[in-house]
Amino acid sequence: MIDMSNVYKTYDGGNLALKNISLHIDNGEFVYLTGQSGAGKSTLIKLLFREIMPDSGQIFIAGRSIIRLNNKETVKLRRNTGVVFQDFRLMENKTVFENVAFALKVLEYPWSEVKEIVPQVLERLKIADKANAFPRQLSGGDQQRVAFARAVINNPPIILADEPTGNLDPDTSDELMQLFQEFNDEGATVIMATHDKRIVNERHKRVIALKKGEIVADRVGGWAL
Amino acid sequence: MKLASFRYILPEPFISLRRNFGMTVAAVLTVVLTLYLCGIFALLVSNINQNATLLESAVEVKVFIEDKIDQDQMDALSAQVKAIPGVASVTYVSRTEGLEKMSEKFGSSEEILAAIDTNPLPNSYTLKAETPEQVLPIVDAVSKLEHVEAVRYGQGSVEKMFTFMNWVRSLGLGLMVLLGFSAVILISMNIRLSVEARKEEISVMKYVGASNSFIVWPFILEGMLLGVIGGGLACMLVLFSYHMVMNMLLSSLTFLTFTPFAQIILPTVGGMLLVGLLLGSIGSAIAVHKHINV
Repeated sequence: MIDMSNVYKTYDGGNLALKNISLHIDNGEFVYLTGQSGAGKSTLIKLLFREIMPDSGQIFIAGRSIIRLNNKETVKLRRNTGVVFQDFRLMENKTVFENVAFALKVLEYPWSEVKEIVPQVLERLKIADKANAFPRQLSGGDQQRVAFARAVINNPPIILADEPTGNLDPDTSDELMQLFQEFNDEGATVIMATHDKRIVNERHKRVIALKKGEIVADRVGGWAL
Repeated sequence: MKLASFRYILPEPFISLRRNFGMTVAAVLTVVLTLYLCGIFALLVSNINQNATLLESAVEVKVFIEDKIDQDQMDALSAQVKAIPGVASVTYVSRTEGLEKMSEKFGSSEEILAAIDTNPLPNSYTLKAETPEQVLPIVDAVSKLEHVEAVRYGQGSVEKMFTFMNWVRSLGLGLMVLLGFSAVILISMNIRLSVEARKEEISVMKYVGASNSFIVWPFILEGMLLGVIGGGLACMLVLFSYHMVMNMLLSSLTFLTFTPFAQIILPTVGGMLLVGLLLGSIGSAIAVHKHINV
């Protein structure tokens, strides 16, 4: 489903972020990207939803190269990819309901459906009582739940997460991980960048370890460095 | 874009202006102040222009006629004068009438006649030009006619007045352009700043899969709304100020004329709302486009 071959990425200033990355991820897999800060985890995630572009190499999603996409195709790619960030990236001037509903509005869902679906998802993520609150009025854990709700509301086939538990306490992290697991069980491919050894070791999943921009291990189960 | 999108986009500017209240107030105030200054200055320039034109139109050309011409020659001359392009009116002033007018100004005709024995004034025509610019060409044309003894129009001072008035006009226009230019920059900068403050929000919209038009339109509508609110307030202030100042000056400076209040309402309202609307929407569009390519 996701294929990368010989991908290189260098940032301005000559900082090599990824070097000759090739990997294949199947439909419905749950993959951890591990490594220290600066190993290239976030860069790899960003490449997958075209926040940045590689210097060279190819990236295919569902058999289609995402290197040369026009505006419309990029929009389509992002609508099929739910992204959860470490810093939540919620729209500060919108309520919880509006933040989550936004993802459906851009897909031009009719209002009658938006009104029905959003409360269901908020209920499932246990934040229904915060629907009218603004992000700044929520705890970190709740903000991440909102971000998660926004990412999964239209059941995207791919969920990308960049250090989603980075700002959360262990209990809240575990609850969030449970949510990722649930959506993975329902068929979504989950790719999660993390440097949290504990959550990686708690689940028996595929782990791709990065070091200085290169893949140094790719195996199932446990922290790989 | 589907109908559902319009339904989602249209209420956005109103919600956003309310929630970004501080920014909204700052942007609206900028629009109000700059457009108010522009509006007041435009009215000032237009009134100065009007008074200058009136002053210039008051210039008369006196054509003095030779004494020894008969009625036929007089009729021919009258026809020739009337045929000169740009002549609006021709009034015949006989030497007797001329003396009476002079005596109105300087004292009784008996006293003047006593002093100079006979009436020294020739018969004359008083000409008025259709536009001030035609005065000098008319003077030229009249001077060349037969049986014309002399032409008087306030030589020297009229040219100076025309030059001065042209300077006043050019200065007014120049300042107007400068003020308008700074208004455009100030308003669009301010609106851009308010968009800039929300660039994170724009990038989030992109990552969630919003199309460009879905992101851009609420901002453009918001800019329009800001511009129209600001333009509307500025317009009310301008009209109020004009009314007050006009009433005050009309009672003290009676020699001035003002463009009537009723005549300025439509251009002021239309102009300021349109300028506000255009500046607001264009400023927003430019600012959003800067952040949309992510």
